[in-house]
Amino acid sequence: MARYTHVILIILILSSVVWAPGKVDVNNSVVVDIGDLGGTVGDDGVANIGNSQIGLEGAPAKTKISKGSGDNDLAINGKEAKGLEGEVKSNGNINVKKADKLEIPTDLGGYVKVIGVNNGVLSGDGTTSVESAEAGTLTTPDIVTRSISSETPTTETSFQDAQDLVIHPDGNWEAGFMKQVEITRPRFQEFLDDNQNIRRRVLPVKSTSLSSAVNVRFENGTLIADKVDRIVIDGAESTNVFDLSMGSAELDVEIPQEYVNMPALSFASAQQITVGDYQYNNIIDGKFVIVDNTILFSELRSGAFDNQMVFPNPIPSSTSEVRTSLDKNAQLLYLIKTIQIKERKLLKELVMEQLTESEKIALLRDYDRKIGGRSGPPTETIFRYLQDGYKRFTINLLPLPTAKIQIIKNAFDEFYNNQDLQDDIYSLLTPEEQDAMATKYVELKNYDLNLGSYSLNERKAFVYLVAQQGSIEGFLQQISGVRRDVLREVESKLIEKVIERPAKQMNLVVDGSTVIEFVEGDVVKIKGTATGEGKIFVTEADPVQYSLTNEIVEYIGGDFTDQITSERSASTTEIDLRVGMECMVLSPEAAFTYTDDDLEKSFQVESPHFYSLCVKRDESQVINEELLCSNCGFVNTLNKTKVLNGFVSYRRLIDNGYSDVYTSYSEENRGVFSMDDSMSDVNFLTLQSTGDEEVLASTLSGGYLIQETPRGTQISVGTNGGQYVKGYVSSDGVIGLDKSRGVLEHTDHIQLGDGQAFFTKLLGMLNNYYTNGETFEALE
Amino acid sequence: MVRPLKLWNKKGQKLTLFFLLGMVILGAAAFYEFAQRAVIEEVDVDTPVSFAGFVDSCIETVLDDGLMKLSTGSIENVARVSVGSVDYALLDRALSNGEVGGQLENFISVGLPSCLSSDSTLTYSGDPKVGIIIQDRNVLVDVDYPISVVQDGQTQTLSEFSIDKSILLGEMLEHVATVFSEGIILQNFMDDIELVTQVLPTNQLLVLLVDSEYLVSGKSFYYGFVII
Repeated sequence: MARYTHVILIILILSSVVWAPGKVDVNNSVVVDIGDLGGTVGDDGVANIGNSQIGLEGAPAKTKISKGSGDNDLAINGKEAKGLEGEVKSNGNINVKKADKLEIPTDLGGYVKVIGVNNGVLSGDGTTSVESAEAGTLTTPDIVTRSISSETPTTETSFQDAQDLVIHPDGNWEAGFMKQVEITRPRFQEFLDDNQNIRRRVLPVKSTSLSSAVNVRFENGTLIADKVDRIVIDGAESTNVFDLSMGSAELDVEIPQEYVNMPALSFASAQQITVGDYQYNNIIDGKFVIVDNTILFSELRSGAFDNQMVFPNPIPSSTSEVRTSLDKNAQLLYLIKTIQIKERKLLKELVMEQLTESEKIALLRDYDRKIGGRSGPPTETIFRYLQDGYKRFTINLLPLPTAKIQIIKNAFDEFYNNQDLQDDIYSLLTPEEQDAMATKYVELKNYDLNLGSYSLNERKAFVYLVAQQGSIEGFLQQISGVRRDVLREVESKLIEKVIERPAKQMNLVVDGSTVIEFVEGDVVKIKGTATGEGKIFVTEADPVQYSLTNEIVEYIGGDFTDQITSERSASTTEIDLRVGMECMVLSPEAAFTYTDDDLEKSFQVESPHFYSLCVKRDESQVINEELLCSNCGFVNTLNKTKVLNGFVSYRRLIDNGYSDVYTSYSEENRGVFSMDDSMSDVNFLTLQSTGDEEVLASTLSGGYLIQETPRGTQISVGTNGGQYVKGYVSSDGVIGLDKSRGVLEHTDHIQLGDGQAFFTKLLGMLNNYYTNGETFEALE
Repeated sequence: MVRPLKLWNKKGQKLTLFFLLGMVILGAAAFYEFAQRAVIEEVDVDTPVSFAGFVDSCIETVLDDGLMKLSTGSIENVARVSVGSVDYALLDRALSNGEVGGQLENFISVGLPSCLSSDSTLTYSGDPKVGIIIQDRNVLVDVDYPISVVQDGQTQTLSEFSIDKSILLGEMLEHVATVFSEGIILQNFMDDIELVTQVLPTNQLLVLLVDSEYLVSGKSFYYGFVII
């Protein structure tokens, strides 16, 4: 009964309020059980609760007052004030002189709790202002999705000793000062596009704390402060930070970097930032994303000269750290992200990487015992032994664990027992080419030559099998009746495939002249010097890939350096820290330079077009040396050869500068350099030259300029006297150079016959040279 | 006591016989050699045939001398560059077939009387008219020069002489023309003419085209010059 009495009382009170002209103007129902609140309402329309008074005069329209959850509590428009003391007045706003706690829901599902409030104002527009507060928590949904649910990511903020705090109805807030601020964002934020598809995901920020933040505010997911004495993000500490900004959409971890437009943390200056074991001083205009005490993204300028910085390098098989020294105002960007990469994997690589060193040794011993007469390199011998075992169904007899044999079989199956690949290869060929290939197979097998007697599936299998056999035994390119480029494509499908996988990538962007060093301990293994806005992207791969723009990147070996100078567009190189640069794609006019302590061995390669170049220096390197490839080259220090096809310049160190020794102006040119034992001079250059250009290739030798033209090989006086090319073999002639007199005698003492036939023979020999370790003796 | 010569003794009968036969053969050979020399001398001075042959050989000798001079690029006095002990003509263009022919004509015209002077029995006067035709594989020399010889009170006169010298001069001159028009194309020198070049310290190029088939004065003929 008493309960109903209270309700009636409230109605009466409010009725009296409504009907009290000049006191309040509340048009909607206002339900307050003052009695339950432990208070009374006077005739003057002032509600008294405990020591508090609630002035309803001029209260906002649609003010709803209800009982709070405890004594002396009051809920006004859903905003709960607890432990009210003193006066709560309403003159358009609701003023709270003092409150133990204010709990205020915000428009989008957020929630604010403020403790120890002095002089608060709950405005009619939903804004809450507090002159000071002892502490508080703010839960702000990240406004990135269309609908708010329990799954909606939120930013949690707690603070202590706030002054001049203003909380807006949308959840944004600001304060003149906060002694301590803690922010957490426990989950990834998801940004949706208009179709509700996830456009991007941004990293969570865990455990961020600010000390003594001046003019601090949270706007649409971004925390901003004019000054912060100390900020710690996931354990990373920054001190004396000015113009701080910590955003909500910082870093994309799944999709391309161009979607990254807002940093996690930014500031105008910071005296010091400590992230894990790394400390950075005097930073200007810094932007950081730091997770788990690890920097995922930073963009900064140096506030001091010779500002030493060291960053961790998380890319496996690269160095453990990168370091730089920034000049004052020099910029640096450091970004770690995950990307999808497409990686060409050779069958040989896929097989060999399955084997341990002891298994390789066991296989070699087995080979020596059962077959013997090993002539090729160990890697090649092992692979061919396995391949032969697979083809002859004797692979199970090899000295390998059963599980390992199965893995290797699977690798071979992908290339040699793959229905999709069989169909794919068959579809590359014209009907005539299909017949040519199938005929070749039945000839080899002594089968019935009438292709009509075989089913389509059989003919497809014949094509597939002869392609395999041709690829393995080296006669695929000689099969007549099939286009050469198609044969090359078929062969590539049988020896390599493209694998797509996620990989870590580190991006480094610096100003001109900034040096970045990749260090292992105190040893500098790789050094990059920016020539403009320098970019080095390091991608997880085997070997690790380094992509560079506006950079001079050097691999520093024991007695040599590999160097790529790449400007304008990006060049990419694999670097094996054990041996140096391996395979690279040089952008137009990017130069690869090998500089040896013995300067005579030094050389440079450059092309006006994109050019792929591989350098093999160690037996363990698995490189597919395709001698007929287009616009590509191979340097093989084991076989003492260099192959430079297509548009390319080959230079030697002459008078302290690199000068052209050989330049090819035609994509169809194929140059094979047989080097002397020291890899210094070219014993003879074998050049197959075709094309429409007036000059197809130029070679400087002993003061001569030797030019290949559509009319033939033309000689004239060159520009330097170096005898770097001692012999020269063109399609139709042989030139020997007499060293003692500098006299060039043109002779045909090598019986060339048909130039093309000679080249076919030569290239065949070269192929054997590469694969079986044969020598050029037959030619010399 | 004088022992008579025994042509026939028991042990040396056959030996002595062979000795005599050898003497006979030797004598015959000596006579033949004498007779041959006598014929040559006779031809030189006594018969029209040998007289014409002498003139022909003189023309060839002078032609060879001319070719040897020509092998340095030009017979005429032109700018030259020393390469070793030889001064090669410095050319900025190829000499034409006609120009080279003209040089040889002049050389022979001047040199022939001097060569003929070795035989005092010959009489001639004035300058010979020399015509040269340079073909790919030979050089034809026609000389119009009245030469008389008096024998037994009779005067014999011949005016027209002609020789055909096998040499690849015509081919070479074509190559030279090509060198200046198209450059030195190595594939052009795969057969009977070989190419030797040398870059000189002056950064000029010495070019030698070597006739790999025919000799001049017992040596391979070459045509050399330095390109400006």
